[in-house]
Amino acid sequence: MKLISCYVTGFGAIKEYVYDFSEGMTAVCQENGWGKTTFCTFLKAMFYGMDYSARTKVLNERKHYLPWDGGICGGHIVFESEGKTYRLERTFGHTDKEDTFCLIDVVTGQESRDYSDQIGEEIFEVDREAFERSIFIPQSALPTAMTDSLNAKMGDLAAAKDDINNFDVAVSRVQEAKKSYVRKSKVNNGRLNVIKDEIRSCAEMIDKKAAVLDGYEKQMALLEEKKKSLNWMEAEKNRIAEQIRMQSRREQDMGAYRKQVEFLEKQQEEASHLDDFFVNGVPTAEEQSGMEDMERQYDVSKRAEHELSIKMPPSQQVEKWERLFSDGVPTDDEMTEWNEKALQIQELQLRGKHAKLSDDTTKQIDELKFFFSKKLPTEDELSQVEKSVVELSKLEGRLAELGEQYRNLRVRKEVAEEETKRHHGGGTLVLVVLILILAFSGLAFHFLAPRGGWNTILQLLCFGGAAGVLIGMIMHRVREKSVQKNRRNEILQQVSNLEASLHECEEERDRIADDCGAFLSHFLLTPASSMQQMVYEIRVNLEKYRHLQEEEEKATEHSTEAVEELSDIRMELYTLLGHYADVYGMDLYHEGCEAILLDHLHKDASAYEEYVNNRKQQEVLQLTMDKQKQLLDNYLIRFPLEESLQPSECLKVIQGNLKRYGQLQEEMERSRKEMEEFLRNNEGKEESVSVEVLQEQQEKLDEEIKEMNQGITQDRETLLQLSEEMDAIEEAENRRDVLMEERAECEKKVELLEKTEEFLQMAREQFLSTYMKPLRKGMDHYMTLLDEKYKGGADDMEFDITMDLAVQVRSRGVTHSSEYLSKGYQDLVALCARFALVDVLYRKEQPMIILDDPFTNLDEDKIVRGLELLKTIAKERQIIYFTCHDSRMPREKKDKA
Amino acid sequence: MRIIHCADLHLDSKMESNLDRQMASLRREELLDTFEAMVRYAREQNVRVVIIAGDLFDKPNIRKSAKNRVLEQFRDNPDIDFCYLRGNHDRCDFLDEIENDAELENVKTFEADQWTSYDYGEAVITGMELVKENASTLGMNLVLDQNRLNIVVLHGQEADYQGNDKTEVVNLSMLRNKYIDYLALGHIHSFKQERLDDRGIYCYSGCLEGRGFDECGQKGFVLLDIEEGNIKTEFIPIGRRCLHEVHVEVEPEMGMPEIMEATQKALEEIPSEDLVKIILTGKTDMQKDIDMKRLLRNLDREFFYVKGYDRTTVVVDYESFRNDRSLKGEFVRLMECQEMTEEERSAIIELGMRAIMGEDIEA
Repeated sequence: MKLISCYVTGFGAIKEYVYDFSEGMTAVCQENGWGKTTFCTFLKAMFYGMDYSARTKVLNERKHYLPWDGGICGGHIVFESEGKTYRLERTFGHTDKEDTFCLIDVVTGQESRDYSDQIGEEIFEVDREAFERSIFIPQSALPTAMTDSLNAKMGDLAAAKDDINNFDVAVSRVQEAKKSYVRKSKVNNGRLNVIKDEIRSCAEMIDKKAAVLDGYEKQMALLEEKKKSLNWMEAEKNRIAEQIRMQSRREQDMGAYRKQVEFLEKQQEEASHLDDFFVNGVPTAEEQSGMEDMERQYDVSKRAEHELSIKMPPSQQVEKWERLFSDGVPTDDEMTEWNEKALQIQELQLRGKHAKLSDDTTKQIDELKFFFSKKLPTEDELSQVEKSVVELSKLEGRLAELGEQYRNLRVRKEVAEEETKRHHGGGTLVLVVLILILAFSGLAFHFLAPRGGWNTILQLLCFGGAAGVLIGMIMHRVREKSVQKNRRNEILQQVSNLEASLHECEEERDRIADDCGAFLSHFLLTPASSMQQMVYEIRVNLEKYRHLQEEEEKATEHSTEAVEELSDIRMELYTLLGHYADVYGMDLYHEGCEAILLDHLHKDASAYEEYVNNRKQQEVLQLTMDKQKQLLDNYLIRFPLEESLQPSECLKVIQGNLKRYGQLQEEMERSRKEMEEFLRNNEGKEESVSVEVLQEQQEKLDEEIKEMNQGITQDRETLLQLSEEMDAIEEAENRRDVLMEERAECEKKVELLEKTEEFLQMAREQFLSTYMKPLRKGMDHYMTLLDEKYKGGADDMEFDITMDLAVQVRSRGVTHSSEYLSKGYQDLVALCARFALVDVLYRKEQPMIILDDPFTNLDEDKIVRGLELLKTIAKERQIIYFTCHDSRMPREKKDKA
Repeated sequence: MRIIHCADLHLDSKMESNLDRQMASLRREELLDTFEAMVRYAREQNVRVVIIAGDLFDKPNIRKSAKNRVLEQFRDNPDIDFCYLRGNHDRCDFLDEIENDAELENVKTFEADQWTSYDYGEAVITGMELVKENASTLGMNLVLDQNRLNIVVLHGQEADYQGNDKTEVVNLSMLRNKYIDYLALGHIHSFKQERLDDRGIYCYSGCLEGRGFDECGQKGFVLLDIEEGNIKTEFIPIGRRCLHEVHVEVEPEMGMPEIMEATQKALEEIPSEDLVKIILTGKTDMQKDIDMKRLLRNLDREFFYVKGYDRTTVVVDYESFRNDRSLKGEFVRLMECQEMTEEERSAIIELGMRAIMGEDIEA
C-alpha cells in the first residue's frame, strides 16, 4: 500500500491541508504544535473510521477532532493498493450514522466496491488498535522502545508479551481451577473428589438396600405368619371359650335336673301329709271363706261386748244415779231454764261489784283528802297566789338587772380614779425635767459663758423657756382637775340612785315571798325549785280531788237497785234445785254454788242415759256370739288341729294347707313335664370334656398368645428399625442422585477446564510459531541493512529479538542485552526491531510508517546514518518522517529546502 | 353418584430435597392439610366413594400423628367409603390398623392375590394390589359384568407390553375389552386421561401436592359424576402450592437489570405462595456477567421458595477477533476451527478469556 496524496477538509486544528506523499520516504519539517498526532489520527480515521467499538472512547475522540468552527470534518486520501489507485473520501458527523464513506477508483472515476467502509482491516488485516499503535513511532520511542510502559502503545505484538505472560497466568489459573475439583488432599480435597467420596459412602449405604429390603420383607413375612398364628390362636381361644360356655350350661342343666328330682320327691311327701289333713274331705274355697267371715264377725262381736263391759260404771255410782233421778232425768228444757237463771244471778252479782269504786280510786281519794285536810283553797285564793308567784318572779329579774348596773357603775368609778392617778405620773415628770434643764442651761450661760452677744440672748431664752413651761404645766393641771371632779360627781350621783332602786325592789320581793310562803305552808308539797311549781301542784291536786268526789257520789246510787233483783231470782232457783242439792250435799243459800250443781247434774244425766243404752246392747251381742261359736266349732272339728289354737289360727292353718295343696298339685305336674322334656332332650348324648379340662386348655392358649404378642412386638420394633434404615437408604439414594448430578456438572467443568488449558497452550504455541520466526527473520534483514550503512559496528555480533521485543546481542558465544551496545547503536537496533515488528504484523499490505523526529538524541553522524537507513528501508515501504529541525532532514530534502 | 379418584398422596413425605428443614416440615403438614381439604370437598359434594389408587403414604416409617390424622378423616366421615389400594410406597402397617379397627367399616381394601369388588349400585369398584406375582397375569382373571358400570383400580406404570421388570407395570393391552368403563390408576404424579378401548378410559389423577420440580403444575384429584350409566370426569385442582419451572430467554445485549425485568415478567402470573425454579437460557455477552445470586435474592421474598440455574451460553463474535493479532485473537481463532458443539466452544472460550483477563473462573 502506498499513499499518494491527501486532502484534509477539516480535522481538529488542520484545515484545508493538501499533501502529496513521495514514493519511499517523505520527510516533513514542521515545528512543534503543527499537529502531527492529529494528522496521524486523520490517516487512521480515513482507513478505519472513527468508531470502532463501544470499548473505545469514541465520542471523546469525535468531539476532540470535529473542527472547532463547525465546518466539515473529513477529507480524502489517494492511495495505491494491489496495483490500483483509489481515492478514499470520508466525512465524520457527531455519530457514526452521520459518517459518509466513498471509495473511488481514480482511473475510472467510478465508485469502487473493492473495499467496504472497513477498508483498513480489509487492506491491512490488522484491527484499528494495532494499526494505530504500529504505524506511529513517537519521538521517544526508540531509546525506550523496550520499556513496559510503551509496549502497549507499540502494537499488538508488544501487547503479545503481556498476552504471553497473561497466558502463563491464565493457564495456571485454569490449572488451579481444575485442581479445586480434582485435588487429592486430606486437608483440602478437590470438590469432585469430595463428591465422589460422598457418592461412595452413599453407594455403600445403598448397597445394603437389597439386604435391608430383603430383611424387611422377611421380617414382614414372619410378622404376617405370627399374626396368622395369633389369629388362629385367638380363634381357638374363642372356640374353647364357647365350648366352656356350652359345657357349663349343660352341667348347670344337669344340676338343675337333679335338684328338680329331689324337689319333686319333697313335694310328693308334703302332698301325702296334706292328704292326711284333709281326710274328712277337702273344703271348698267358698266354704272356707264363709267360715273365715263368720270367725271375723264373731271376733268383732266379742271385742264390742268386751268394750261395753269395760264401760259399765261401778254399782255405788249406779245407786247414786238411781237416787238422784228417782223422779226421772230432767229434760233438756228444764236444764236450759235452770242454767239461764244461774246466769242471771251471776250477771247481777257482777253488776253489784262494778257499782263500787275501785281500790285505787278510793286510795287516791283518801290521799287527796289528807292533802287538803288543813286547807281546801277556793278558786279566788288559788288565783291570787298564782299572780303573786308571777310577780315575785318578775321582781327577781328586775333585782338581777339592777345589780348588774350597779356593778358596772362601780367599775367605771374605779377606772376614773385610776386615770386621775396616772395623769399625775409620767407627763409631769418630763415637764419638770425640761424646766430643770432649761433653768440649768440659763444658769450655765449666766455663770460660765462670757457676757454679752448671743450668750445673753440664749441665757434669757433658757430662763424664759423654763418659766413658760412651768406656767403651762400649772394651767393644764388646774383645768384637768376640774374636769375630773365633774365626772366623778356624776358617777357618784348615778350610784346613789341605783342603790335606792335596789333597796325598794328587795323590800317588795320579801313582802310577796312572805305572803306566798304563808299560803304554801298549809300543804304537804313535794320539794321543788320554785314556788310556781308548788302552786301548780296544788292546782292539779285540787282538780283531781273534785273529779273523784263526783265519781264516788254516782257509785253509791247504782248498787242499791241490783241487790233487790238478785234476791228474787235466787229464791226461785234454789227452790227448784233443792232435791238435787240434798243428794249432792250442797248448801245453795250459803255457798251460792248453783252453777257447779247444774254442771254436775248435766254430766250425771248424760252418763246415766249412756249406761242404760250400753246395758241393752250388751244383752243383744251375747245372743249373737253364742250362735256363731256353735257353727265354727262344728266346722273345725273336721280337721286334725291342735286344741290350743284359736279358731282364727285354725282357720289360717286350714287356709294355708288348702292353698299349698293346690300349689303342690300344679308344681308337681310342671316338674314332671320338665323332667320328661329334659330326659327326652338329653337322650343319647355322650359325656363331653369337662369345663376344668377346657379351662386348662384355655390358660395354656393364653400363655401362648401372650408369648406370640411379645414376639410380634419385638418383630414390629425390628421392622421399625429396618424401616428407619430404609429411610436412611432412601435419603442416601436421593442424596446420591443429587451428588451424581453435581458430579456430572463438575466433571463437565473439569473437562472444559482441561480443554481450555489445552487450547490455551495450543494458542500460545501457534502464536509463537506465527510471529516469532518472521520477527527474527525481519530483524536479521534490517540488521543486515544497518550493518551495511553503519560500518564499524561489530562484525562478530549476532542480534536476536525476544518475545518482549528485547534485543539481545550474542558475541563470542555470550548473550548480552542491548545495553552492551553504544547508545546510538541501541536506538538504531531498536528501529530495526520496530520495522521487523511491523513487517510481521502486516502480512498482506505494508502500511506507511510515521516517524516523529526519532533521531533527536543522535549526534550528526549517527543522524546521517539513521536517515540513510530510512532511505534504504523506504525503498521497500513508504515512510513519513516528521522533524522540527532542518539539521535532522535528509540531505537532498535540505538541499531542496 | 359421585366418586373421587385420587392417588400418590405420599403423606408424611420428608420434602427435604429442595427445602430447608423448617419449610420441609411445613410442606409435610400441608400434604395432610390438602388430604383433609379433599375429604371436606367430598363431604360437601355428597361424594359416596373416595378411591385412593395407591401410595397414600410415602415410606414404611410413618409418624403416629400423620396416621391419626388420616384415621380421623376415615372415622369422621362414615357416610363416605374409602377404597384404599396399596401402592409400591405403602409399606407401613397402616392397613393392619384399619383391619384391626372394627369401627372403620367405611374403609375398603384390596387383596394382592385376587380381585376384590365393591358394589355401589350404580357402579362396581374392582381392584387388586399389583405385586411381582400377579403383574404378568393381571388381566387374565379379571371378570366384569358387561351390563354394569365398572371402575377398576390399579397402581403402576402404564405400558402396552410387559417388560422384563414385571413389577409396577400396568399392561394396558391386557385390560382392553374387559368391560372397564374407568380405569383409576396411580403411580404417575401428573393428571393424564386417555382412551383405554372403545368402551372405557384410563386416568392417572396425579398427586394432590407437587413435591419436587419434576412435579410442576396444578395438582388435584378426579371427580367422577355417574348418572344413568354414564361417567363424567372432571379434574379438580386442590394443591395448596404449585411448583413452576420457568425458562427465561436471555439475549446478549441484556444486562442484569434487563434480565431481572424479563424474569419478573415471566413470573408475574405465578402466585406468591408457589415454588419456582428459574432457568436462564439463551446467549450472553462475554463482557456481561450474570449474577444469579442477586437475581434470586431479589425474588426470594416474592415466593414461598425460589431457586435458579444459569444455562446460558456465551456468544462469541469471532469476526471481531479475525484481525486481532494478540494471543487472545489467536486463541479465539484456534477455537473457531475446532470441531465441537457451539455450546462447548463458547464455554471454553469464556473460560479461557476469563482466565486471561484475570477474572474468577468459577464465577
